[in-house]
Amino acid sequence: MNCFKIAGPRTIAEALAFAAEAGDNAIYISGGTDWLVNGAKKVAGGLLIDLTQVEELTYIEERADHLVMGAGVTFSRIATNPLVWEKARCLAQAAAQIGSTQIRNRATIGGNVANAAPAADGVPPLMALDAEVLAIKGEIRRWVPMGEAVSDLCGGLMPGTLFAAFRVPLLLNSVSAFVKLGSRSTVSVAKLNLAARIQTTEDGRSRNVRLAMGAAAANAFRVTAVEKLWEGRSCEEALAEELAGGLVTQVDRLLAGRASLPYKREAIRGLAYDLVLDIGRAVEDGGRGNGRKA
Amino acid sequence: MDEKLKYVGARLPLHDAAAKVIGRIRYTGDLGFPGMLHAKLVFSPFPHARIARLDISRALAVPGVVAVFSHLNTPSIAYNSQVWFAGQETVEDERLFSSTVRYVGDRVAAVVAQTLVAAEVAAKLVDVEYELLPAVIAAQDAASFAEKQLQVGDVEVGFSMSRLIVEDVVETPKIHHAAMENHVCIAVPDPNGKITVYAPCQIIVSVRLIVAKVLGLALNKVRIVQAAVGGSFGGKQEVILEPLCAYMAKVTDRPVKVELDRAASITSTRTRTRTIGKVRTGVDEKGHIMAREVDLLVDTGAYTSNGIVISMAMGKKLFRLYRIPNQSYRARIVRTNTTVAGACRGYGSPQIHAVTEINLDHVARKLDMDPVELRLKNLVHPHDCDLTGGPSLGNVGIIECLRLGAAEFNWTAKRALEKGTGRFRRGSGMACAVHGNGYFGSPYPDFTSMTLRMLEDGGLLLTAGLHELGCGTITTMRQIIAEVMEVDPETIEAPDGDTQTSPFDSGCQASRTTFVCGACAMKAAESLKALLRQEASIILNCNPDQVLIKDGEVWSGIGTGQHYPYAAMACLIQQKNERELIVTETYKSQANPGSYGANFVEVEVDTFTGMVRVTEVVAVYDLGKAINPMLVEGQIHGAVQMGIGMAICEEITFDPATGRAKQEGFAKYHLINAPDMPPVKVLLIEKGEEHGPFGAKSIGEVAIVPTAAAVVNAINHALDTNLTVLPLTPERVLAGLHPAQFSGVAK
Repeated sequence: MNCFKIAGPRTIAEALAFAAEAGDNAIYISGGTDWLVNGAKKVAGGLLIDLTQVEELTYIEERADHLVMGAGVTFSRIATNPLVWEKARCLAQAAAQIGSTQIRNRATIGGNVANAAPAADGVPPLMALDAEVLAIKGEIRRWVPMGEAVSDLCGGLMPGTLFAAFRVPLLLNSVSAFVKLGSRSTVSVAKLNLAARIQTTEDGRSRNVRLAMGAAAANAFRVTAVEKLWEGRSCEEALAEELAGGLVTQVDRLLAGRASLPYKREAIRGLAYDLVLDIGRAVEDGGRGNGRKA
Repeated sequence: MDEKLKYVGARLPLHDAAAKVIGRIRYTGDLGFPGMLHAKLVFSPFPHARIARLDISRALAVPGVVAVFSHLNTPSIAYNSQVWFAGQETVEDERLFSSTVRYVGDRVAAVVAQTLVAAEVAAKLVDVEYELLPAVIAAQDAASFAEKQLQVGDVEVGFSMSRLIVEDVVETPKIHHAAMENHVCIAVPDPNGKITVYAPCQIIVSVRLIVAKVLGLALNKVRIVQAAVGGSFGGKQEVILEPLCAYMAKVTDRPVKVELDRAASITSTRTRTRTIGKVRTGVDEKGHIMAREVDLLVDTGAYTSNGIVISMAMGKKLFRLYRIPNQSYRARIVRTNTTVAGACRGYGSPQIHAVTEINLDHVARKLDMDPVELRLKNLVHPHDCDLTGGPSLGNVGIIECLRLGAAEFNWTAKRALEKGTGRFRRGSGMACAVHGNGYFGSPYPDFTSMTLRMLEDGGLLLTAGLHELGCGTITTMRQIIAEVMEVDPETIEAPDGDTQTSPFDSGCQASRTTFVCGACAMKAAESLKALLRQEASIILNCNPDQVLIKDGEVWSGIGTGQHYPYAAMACLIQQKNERELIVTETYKSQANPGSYGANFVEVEVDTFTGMVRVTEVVAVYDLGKAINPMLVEGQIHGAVQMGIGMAICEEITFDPATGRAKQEGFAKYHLINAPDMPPVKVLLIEKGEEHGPFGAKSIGEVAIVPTAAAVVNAINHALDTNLTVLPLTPERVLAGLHPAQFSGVAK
């Protein structure tokens, strides 16, 4: 039978102490929306550390040049938080589209990144925003870039690493957007998702472009080849078509031989158009939506 | 007559709506009995295999396990899960367990334990060695074991007179009923050898028949109690868990509960029948249908189930919607190593209408004729004959449905709208449908009996084989009786059926409940009223025809002014006449008119992603008379939701290599949810049907029939395509737009 112990720490320090004691048999969970469905067996004989009572993990704040939030913030809060909409629009957009209302009320940003499902909607926005995650294991505390955090899941970071917080650098005149394609308009796992952040120059051109794609590989990743196509361009339909072309090339490469390829290589075009349209909307909105105004 | 009706036509809520909403209703899953055991089933992981070895020793060793059942220790009596009356001709090929499993999800064993956890743990410890056998997953690869044919006129002659012949192959998938309540039942043995089964089902007499057969018990030693139903849609019409549950209760001499999870409800119960329909329609230059030929491949899954019956049901619908002088229908029924098909809302009607209505739009395109106009030229008229010799179509209202719906939808203007040339395209489509009202005219008996009595306080008690599936059966019966007896429906108690006390009823199937059971309720109420008049006349010292019954009171009509409320009169009759006010009536159905409907649908299609959004639905139905318009509208809204799902997203598909269903839960099996539901405008044609109670006909099943075809027609209109493989998922839509790129992938 699947017997295990549950720890209910109230502070990060307590959580780390529990983890240290249990060693490799510790698993952190927060909302449990992934773990309860898929992973419940993995903990057999070990210690489940429930982080939902750790208040230190539930803040959303602007600190100097960063938007910082605890890993225990639920998607419902992100989706309704004015500060996130103001400073990290694409993350708020993704949060609003994850699962159902019930899921969003439980699921946390930290859990979404730690679980690192290929289609995790929280990951591409954080990547596009150049976010870093505060990873803690034992005495080690360090801010890890998203790309590293996600890829390291297969390597050294897990198990036993606590994701405590995320920080998003605030850039001048920057906007961001997230778009997703599921098999229906809501309550659907992404078949593809995209997030982008750009800074705009005075003449409306894009610079410092970040574009991340999910659900096309084992983890979301930055599509640097397509970012280059975007640099220096204004957000108009011709750009959408070019980005679409670049993304199709990526999909062709990543999904070669997969049954889903013919569909996804077509559908990614729709997402490219949605993304450019939505970024354009954010630019028109006066740069509101990410970072600070000049 | 309508102005005089007080309760029929009233918008009363479901009798148990409040209890459901506040969570007080007790579903079978909520019930428990002292000493009750829990069963967990073990299902086959292979589509076709012989069980070479089955070792239960590890399972039995789990603390709390009481017994493990398999083909080694259960009766091998063959039965068919859809038999509902004694002597019904059928193919019996299902058993509690068999040494050969025939699909992924077939029953292999059942562990019974004191706790559900113990049963679950032990179920994983049943060691089975399988010897794999060749499996047939695709219907096209299977050989047919039965055929059904119907024919009118001579199709070759009809085709030779046609100016245009349009052929299509339309495929409809297996579909999960998706009732909120999974399959569940509890069997309770008693010391005298009787078994009571609590079952959320659709036909208590069917459950009784099959349980008695498998257990070798007399019918009166098997008691089936209709439990609260958390949705069925046909999924609980066939007898699936009850015989096994009853057998395990009998052997262990303890109450046993079996409750499936969602994955098992999807893969191990029943599905909508998959059909592949080849259809050819010939028309003259004006659009009159001269001939039609339908050749249907019917995939009934691993066991025969209702494969033959539903094939006949589908065929009959073809002859009752349009005036087609020459028409032939042939169904070839095949078994595959996939989940068993069975009843599902509409009983084949949504499938056969998808085949013909999608084809008819293709005909309209080829003729360059408006699809509404094409249909109006061919639709049946009131009191048309069924050319196959079936019962009269009755007071048909389909032409009114079409005209009213087209006007409300603004059909002509919408069809003329620009579809767009960019990423998003708009289109509108429509479809017509017919469904039945019971079994009259078929080989199956269609009658019901009911006992109605008036109690000492004037309240009424109806004892009948009722099955409240959530459609409002009980509220409907109460409204009908209330109207006749002139009492508040709240004073009528009409509990669900119980084979120990209820008279016989053929069950909640075949769209017969309102039309047949409702007619019986009306007959019983009229009979009780006559009895009341008769007995009251003794008290009032007058002739029965001098007794006036009005508004729940009994008056002497001979000018004495004497009058009594029902309660007082019922007491007097008890005391003085020593008579109970009780009647039992049997009603035999005398007609089987069509219920008709038309749906008008607008869609928006994203040609980049293939996503379809249904933006508007106008749904018009000819149902004779709505006993309760609010419940009717509820039926239609739900049906439209299911119909859109059938058109664009719902399907159970099987991996051709492993035979496993690709959709084993709601993460993969998507229904249309609230944000994706369009506004649905419901319109009703109420012009009365002769034999229906207060003119009423069926609605619950016909409501879903036109929707899927209408949505597909709208999509084809938007895209100028002829997509015919349902559901039109984003993948299939894009494959339709870019066939070269998708060759061989998303069929």
